[in-house]
Amino acid sequence: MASLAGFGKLHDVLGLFMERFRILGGYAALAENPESAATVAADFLRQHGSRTVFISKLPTGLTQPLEKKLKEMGLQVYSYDSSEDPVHVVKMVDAGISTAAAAVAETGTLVEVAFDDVERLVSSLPKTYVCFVNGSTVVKSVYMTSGLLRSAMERDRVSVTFISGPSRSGDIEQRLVLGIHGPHHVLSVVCSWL
Amino acid sequence: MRKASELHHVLSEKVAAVLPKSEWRKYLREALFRTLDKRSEAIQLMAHDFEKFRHDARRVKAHAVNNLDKLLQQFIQNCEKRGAKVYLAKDAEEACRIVYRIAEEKNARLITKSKSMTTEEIGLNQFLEKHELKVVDTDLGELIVQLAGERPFHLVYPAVHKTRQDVAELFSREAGRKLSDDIGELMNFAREYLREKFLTADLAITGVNIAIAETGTVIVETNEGNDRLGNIPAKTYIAVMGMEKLVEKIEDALKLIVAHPVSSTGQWLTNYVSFLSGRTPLAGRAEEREMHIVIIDNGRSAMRDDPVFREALYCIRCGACMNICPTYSSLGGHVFGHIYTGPIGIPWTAFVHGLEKAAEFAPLCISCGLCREICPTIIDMPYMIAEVKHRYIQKGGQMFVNKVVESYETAYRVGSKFPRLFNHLISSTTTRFLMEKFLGIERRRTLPKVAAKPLDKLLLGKVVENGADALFFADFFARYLRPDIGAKAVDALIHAGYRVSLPPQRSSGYPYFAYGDLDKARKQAEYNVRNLSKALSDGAVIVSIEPTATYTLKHLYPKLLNHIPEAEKVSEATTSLTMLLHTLTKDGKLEAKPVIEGRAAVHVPCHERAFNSCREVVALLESAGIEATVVETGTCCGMAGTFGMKHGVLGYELSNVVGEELFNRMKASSCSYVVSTSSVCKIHISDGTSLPVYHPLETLEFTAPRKR
Repeated sequence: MASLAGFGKLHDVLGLFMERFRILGGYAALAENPESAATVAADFLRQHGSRTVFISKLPTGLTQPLEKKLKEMGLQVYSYDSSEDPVHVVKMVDAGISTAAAAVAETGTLVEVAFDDVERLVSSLPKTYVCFVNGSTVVKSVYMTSGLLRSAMERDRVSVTFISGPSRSGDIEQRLVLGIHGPHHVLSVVCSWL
Repeated sequence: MRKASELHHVLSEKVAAVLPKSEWRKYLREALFRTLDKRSEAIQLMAHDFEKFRHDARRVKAHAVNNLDKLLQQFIQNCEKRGAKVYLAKDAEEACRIVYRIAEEKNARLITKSKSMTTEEIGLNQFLEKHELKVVDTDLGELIVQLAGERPFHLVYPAVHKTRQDVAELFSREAGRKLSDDIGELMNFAREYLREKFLTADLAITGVNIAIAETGTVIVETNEGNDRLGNIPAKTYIAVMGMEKLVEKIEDALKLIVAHPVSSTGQWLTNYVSFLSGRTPLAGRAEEREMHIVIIDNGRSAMRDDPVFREALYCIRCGACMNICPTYSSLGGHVFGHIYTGPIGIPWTAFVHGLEKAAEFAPLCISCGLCREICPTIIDMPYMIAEVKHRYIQKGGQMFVNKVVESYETAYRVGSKFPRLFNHLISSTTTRFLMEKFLGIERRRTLPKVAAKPLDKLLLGKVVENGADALFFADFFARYLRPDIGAKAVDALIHAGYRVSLPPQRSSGYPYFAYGDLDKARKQAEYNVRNLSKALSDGAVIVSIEPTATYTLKHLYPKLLNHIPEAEKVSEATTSLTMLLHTLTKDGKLEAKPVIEGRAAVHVPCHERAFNSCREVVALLESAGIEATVVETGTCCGMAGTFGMKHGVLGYELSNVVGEELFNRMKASSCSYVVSTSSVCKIHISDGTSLPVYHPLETLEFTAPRKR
């Protein structure tokens, strides 16, 4: 796994994001190139027993190495096919993979910008979820996302979601349980080469 | 409108049914106090300057409420541009009909709903079920209360009153098989059970946490992600929101999405915060994917137009006020609430469900003021609650016992003419029996004795008529009960170089406020403000040995008197005596020595918290070499002025239940005595712990600094 050394000022923000994301019950890793990102993601899926995975949009240059790696490991890979009902497909898979538009360090938050709800399905339905995020888009505080939100909301229809770790509930005796509705295991891979 | 005595009877029965459940109460308190601890941690991390954070959040809400009509228009236009259909409902009935009509048009049979207090407020589930639609609450807590056939217990934790065993029983019934009480297993059942509903529902409904006018966006916050699983697969999505959820800009919304979790559950951010701007297509298909937004008034316009209640609309529904509320944490939301529970539930209920409904549980507010201190938008709930009580009294009348305890000053004034006789009477078993029977004063409660020598006599030759730079506000405590402590405070100030005066005054009148007799409270305020402001020269301070008196002068009088300049002047000059004495000792203008040996457990009276002066009490004692430790629960001791003096469950018994945890901690502290600035908390703690309780000034001797 890559180290944060040599990232200058970004070091603090990326380190903080990964630390906070882990505190929230998620997993976080730094990848220096598409191959290492693919390896981290595939290993994570294997560790959590995923056999089927739905891939939504990916960062540039990652699709090929990731699909290759996943297939090598014997995972069945699905991606969006307009002939099928996406709900039907995504509900069957063990894991989902997509990309966040940004992340917030202080709160350990991934910022998902979806112009189509398939994106949201992928991060909502499967038990395991992997999200790639461009390291240069990680900002320190929630308040720094206003520009991104404003620009996304210029589109007629858009859903932006701040995702901070796995789905959780404290509704029974206020004891925290993860994965109540959405994903139980969530990995964010910070892509430093982008 | 039912009479006060009828409501009192109903409420007493509800309280009496809950008070014996000590194990359940322990569980509830631990849950709420744990939340408060997490909240403090989150504030450290996310809002270092919490006062600024609170003022920023308040400004956002105030701006939106001040411009509500304009923002509403802007929001509707922007939503419609995105293809959403927007409806305005003037009341609960109309809102339910709108939702039902949409469901009927879509031929919907199964509806999923994610947690929404607004839909609880309008009784949407019941309405739809009456029309044979199946509604499934998908938030785990909401599902639990739905299966139990109950209403939410708490704004944020709807099922906080249910143990895992309770939940296992409910879920087993639904599953048709025996489930264990393992929380993981229960959660897995809920996941599978709801998953099927999400994927087959015809229609999804969510509440709305925030709506942004400039973009036409609704924001839904959930930790479980159930809102997403509801509204992604369903063809038709309905967002139901109160009109007060509007803010103007994205930046305003970002402030609130941080304020919600920090103040509520102590999280940095809610797990899933969805900004929904129009209905996004699914797999490129936008047709048949509809978004409907139902905006509800249901009393909110009336709230906005009422100068006292306008700021109730600033509520961000974090529930912090109920977590800290001493009676809520003893009784829970099914007693302390209707649909909206806890302190903020009282003004909200008055407007959305009617004054009488609010009056049914308003007496559970004991006016400790902690809700205002914790509120992230600084809503003056104590004042609004007093106003609810006041408005109800005009129609339903005042309870006789409240009139009795309000007039305690008159009784002690008369008693001070014959102190021996008076003290003998209030100690006599027969008198106390008669007082309980005919006046409603609890016979087991220790009543304070009247002093033999009045304050005026003790201060003869010490106070000045004019040109004082410190005004002493004696209040009831120093005037009738402990003039010796009052005189000690005046002596200390004189040692520090102050010229002190004792202007004409009456007691603060706080009990009038607490019981909603605002006209009487106002008269008392007018008298005191007139005399204090006349005697107040530039730079002079006003002090009192009683924190409730200081709190009243500082925070209550300006509002009661519509912020007239004299009241503001008095408020400005009022300061905490213990803070002042600490500063004087720190600056070398006064020296303090201990007069009592042993370790002190310092109690923090609620009205002392408003001055944040608890550290100064400890520092003052420590400066004299006394070992002092704060022993507290973070909430009220339960005495609440005269509340704990009243006979019955809505008085003495409830006050003891509220105080039990504090008493246990005091006794376990192995301190030799307790220090409290409040005269009435002192009685309660002494009764509850059998420990000696002193005012800090009783433990210290002040002298002028020795000349070097």
